[in-house]
Amino acid sequence: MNPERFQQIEALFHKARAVTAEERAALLAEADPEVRREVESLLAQAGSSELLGRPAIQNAPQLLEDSTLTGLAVGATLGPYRIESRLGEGGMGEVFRAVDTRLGRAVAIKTAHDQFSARFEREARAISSLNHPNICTLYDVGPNYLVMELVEGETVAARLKSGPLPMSTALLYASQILAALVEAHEKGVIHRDLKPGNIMIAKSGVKVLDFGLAKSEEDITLTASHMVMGTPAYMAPEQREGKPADARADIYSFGCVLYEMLTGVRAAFRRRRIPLPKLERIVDRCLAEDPARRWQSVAELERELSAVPAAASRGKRNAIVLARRPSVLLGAGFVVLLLLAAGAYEWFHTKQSPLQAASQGDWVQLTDFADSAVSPALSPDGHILTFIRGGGTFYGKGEIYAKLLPNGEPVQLTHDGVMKMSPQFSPGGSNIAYTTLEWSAAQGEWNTWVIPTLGGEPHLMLPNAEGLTWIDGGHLLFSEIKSGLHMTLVTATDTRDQSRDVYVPPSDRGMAHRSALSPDHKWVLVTEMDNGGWLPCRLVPFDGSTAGKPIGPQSAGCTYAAWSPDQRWMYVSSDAGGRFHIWRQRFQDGEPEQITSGATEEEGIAVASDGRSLVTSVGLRQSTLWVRDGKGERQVSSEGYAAYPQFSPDGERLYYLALRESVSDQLNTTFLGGELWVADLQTGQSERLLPNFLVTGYSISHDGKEIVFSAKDEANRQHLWLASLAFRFPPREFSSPANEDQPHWDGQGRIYFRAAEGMSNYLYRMNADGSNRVRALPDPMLEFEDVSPDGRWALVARALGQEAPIFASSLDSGGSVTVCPGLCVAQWTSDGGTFSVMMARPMGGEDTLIVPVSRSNSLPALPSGGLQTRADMASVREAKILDGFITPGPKAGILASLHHDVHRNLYSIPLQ
Amino acid sequence: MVAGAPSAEITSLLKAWSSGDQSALGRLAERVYPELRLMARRYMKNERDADTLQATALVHEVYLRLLDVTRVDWRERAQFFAMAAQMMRRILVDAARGRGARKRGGSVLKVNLDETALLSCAPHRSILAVDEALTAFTQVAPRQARVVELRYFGGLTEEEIVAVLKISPRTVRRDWDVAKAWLLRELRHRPQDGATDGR
Repeated sequence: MNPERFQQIEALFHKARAVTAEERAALLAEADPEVRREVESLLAQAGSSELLGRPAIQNAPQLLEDSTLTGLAVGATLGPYRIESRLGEGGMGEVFRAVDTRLGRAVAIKTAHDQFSARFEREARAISSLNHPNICTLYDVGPNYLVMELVEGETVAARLKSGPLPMSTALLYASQILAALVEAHEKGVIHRDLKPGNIMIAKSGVKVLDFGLAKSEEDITLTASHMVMGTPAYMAPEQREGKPADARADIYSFGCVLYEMLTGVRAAFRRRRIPLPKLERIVDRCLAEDPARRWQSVAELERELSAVPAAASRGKRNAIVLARRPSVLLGAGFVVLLLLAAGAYEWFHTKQSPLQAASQGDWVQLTDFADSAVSPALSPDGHILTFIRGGGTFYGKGEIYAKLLPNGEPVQLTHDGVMKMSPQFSPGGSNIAYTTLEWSAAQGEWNTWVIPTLGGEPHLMLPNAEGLTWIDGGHLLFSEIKSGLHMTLVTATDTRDQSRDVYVPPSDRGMAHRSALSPDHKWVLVTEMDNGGWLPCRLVPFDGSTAGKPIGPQSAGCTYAAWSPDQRWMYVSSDAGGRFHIWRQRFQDGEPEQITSGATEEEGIAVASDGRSLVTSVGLRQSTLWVRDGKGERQVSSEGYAAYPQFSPDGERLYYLALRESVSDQLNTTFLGGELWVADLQTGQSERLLPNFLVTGYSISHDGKEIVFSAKDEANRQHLWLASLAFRFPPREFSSPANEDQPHWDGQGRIYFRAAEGMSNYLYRMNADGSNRVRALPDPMLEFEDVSPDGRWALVARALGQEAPIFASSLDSGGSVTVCPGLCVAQWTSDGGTFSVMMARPMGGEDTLIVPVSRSNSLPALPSGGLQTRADMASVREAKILDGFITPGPKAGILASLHHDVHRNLYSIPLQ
Repeated sequence: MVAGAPSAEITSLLKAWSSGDQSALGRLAERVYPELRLMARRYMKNERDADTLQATALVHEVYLRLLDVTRVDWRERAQFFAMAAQMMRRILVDAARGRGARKRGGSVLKVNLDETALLSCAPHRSILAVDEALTAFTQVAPRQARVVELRYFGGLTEEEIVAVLKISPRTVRRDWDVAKAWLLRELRHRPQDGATDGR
């Protein structure tokens, strides 16, 4: 056979296959007999053969397993590891940074001066079986070196040099150290040398180093002889005496570490008390001299510690409400307001049962960006993760990335700066489709683009198509705009033929943005939106025969939905309760149950093909305070969640609260308040005021000399205090039998505040010395926001049906004007020259209306029915609208701005 | 971005190769081959039950792991795939040879080409048989044989083959069809020819 002859055969083969059987016979009859024979024998091979049907590697199970293809040989002294730099000296020898040339992975190598004993090597191999996010993994054991995970960060010991850790941080680290110990003890490995110097603070959490490497009494002697200091400060008494040590020795060491993190002082001295009695009891029991009197297992200890309020109580709170009103529970009305404000009434009525399996200790972090990663999707084989690096969980500026699981580096695929959403893999995994959003005039254009998974040029796949998923055989599921904003879920071929509506939102401003087809292709989960924002997710039949029904928590927004591979579960990201968490519901008639909870928010769902885990984007809210003046914009707050800024009347200083506990820990009945800080805007220096108080609300007197604030007493009751900002007198408490908070000065030196009476809250007023205490408004209210400096208007929230609008109530006549029917924050500057109203936009972000006012006319004319939209704001005379959460200063050209953002990264969460 | 030295090294080797430096190929292969071999083993070990596009995923994985894809253009990418497919073929054939040799204590040049047997109990034979038949086929239809190599050994998808060979999707399909028919005929009907006969 030669190539020319083959070409004749090939040409006839293709021709013959393209025609009918009859024509084929005629065609073949005309051909050269030898060519004809060849072609006939080729045509006889028609039909699929398994032999070549699948790639070779799939036809060859086990082939490679026992072949001669063993791992790479360990060569010279350090085998496949290329030393890159020296990191330092450890107890047993030097530590290097190195690269595992086989995997291109950076590792740390600890060398020993001598060869390891057989026993040491055997034990080290047992340790290398430990695989946990809080344990520094031991990868390999050489004849005289150990190869470990390279952890970058500082040790707890180094961190403790600058004093104790904040309570929440200490408890977080403690829970992670315990998680590491639980894993190790379960595998029979005792650490034996747990100390702050052996615990690294990495970006992803703490990592415990050197598990089980200090093995026996001989080793201790060895260590001691090498260490000049010689004080085994963290060792259990029995270890110091050279007796056999078990898991309870680690518990003793853990107690030492926890005590030191909380107090900054070594446990051996016990000079300081731990502020929380319950926590103190837990630590005391860790530190019992007699092992039999300690906690007997780390699992037991972990349970106890997780019940400590600051670590465990997790609530919900709307960041906007919190930013302006870090107030407390005064009767039930307040909680109802908050929940209503968050659109989360249902939360009270939905049984919350976060499942054990979703406890955050089991989460595996997949990305670690300083900014955010959202919208995860998995390739069909589960090996590649795609996502958008960007902050928007609906859509937003960001780029498509791909990452090989579990440990590949994220690879950026797009570079166009265009707004994007919802990447999805093609059925074979070699392409990724995603939606771009570009604004033309007032209308968004949603287009579907596609890019090869391995990189290349993106190309437009379908215009006017959003949230596209491939079905199979060239069929697609996507959303398209029919007219205006009305966005319908349709199915069609990839050439847009055979288009058919699957779900049409009832409102002509309704938009079905994303969809997830069930594994049996009979049902679709839809995320949709109307003017008011996200609606609950919806289960609709793929044949479009009905509009289906809402699923997941009701009266709450749902941004993502997904199926378990066996179709028994539907997963949704819902903000029932004010924060987005993952919920699941039995297909098709189960009740929603919450599977993640806590301080974070989880949005986006990519369920692994085995159904045993899902990837989601986990976000933590942050709030920082900035000041904007002639010198530009600069950040004022550094640590904590900044809230409630107020300028001094001369505009030289800016006060704010720094909330130390994470935001979501603040609600329920355990709102702890924040630290009061003041920044000198000239020097940029910040200092903490009232160090003995956790302040829940405050107001600066209009002469700038005094502060009235609320704080909790030991019985958890709110009281008002007066303090001098010139430190002329110690803080004085206003005695009162009831809860009182939300104090505000008027311009005449009187204090207005909220006081509880029975089950209601009322607005009260008194003089700065506590005299003339009277009710200022006859009707009960929920919240008190501010009083005008002229003392004529009070801004209060009142219950109205299920809403809690903000009213300006006249303190003279008792009449009311609606400021906003929904949630807003209104206030005056202390000189009475400016009135401002901050409102959240439905799609995120805030607008602040700023209106100049005068003493004679402190309330501007507002649209009847109040401010509801940006257009309402723009209709106010002399209005200026600024982007963001703005507190105007007392002088023109200076203002404070709270930046709320969420830092999101992708995690894999195990499922039950 | 994609980490450090290995990736940069591979990427620059690939660039050197695509701009005509033939010696770069050898160094590239040295670097890629062990990686592929290691991963092939892992796939076989862990996932032989999963019915997914493993070979594709495998090559993708090697690719993502070894290259800084943001610095590689499509031509170099295509060349990488072509090279990876060649290597996968070598790896699989070597493994199959080793296996057969151990089992029989000798040569595997004469093989029984009953398809059922190939599939069910002697997978290494099907690989060796296809390899031999493909070698022969390369003499008469080099391009069509490349398509088979890329798809069968490399696990590449149709669109990737389009990119590698710079031919139309239709040509890829036609080449595959004729090559498959050819190879199946060779494998089914000429079992006694042995596999070394280069016709």
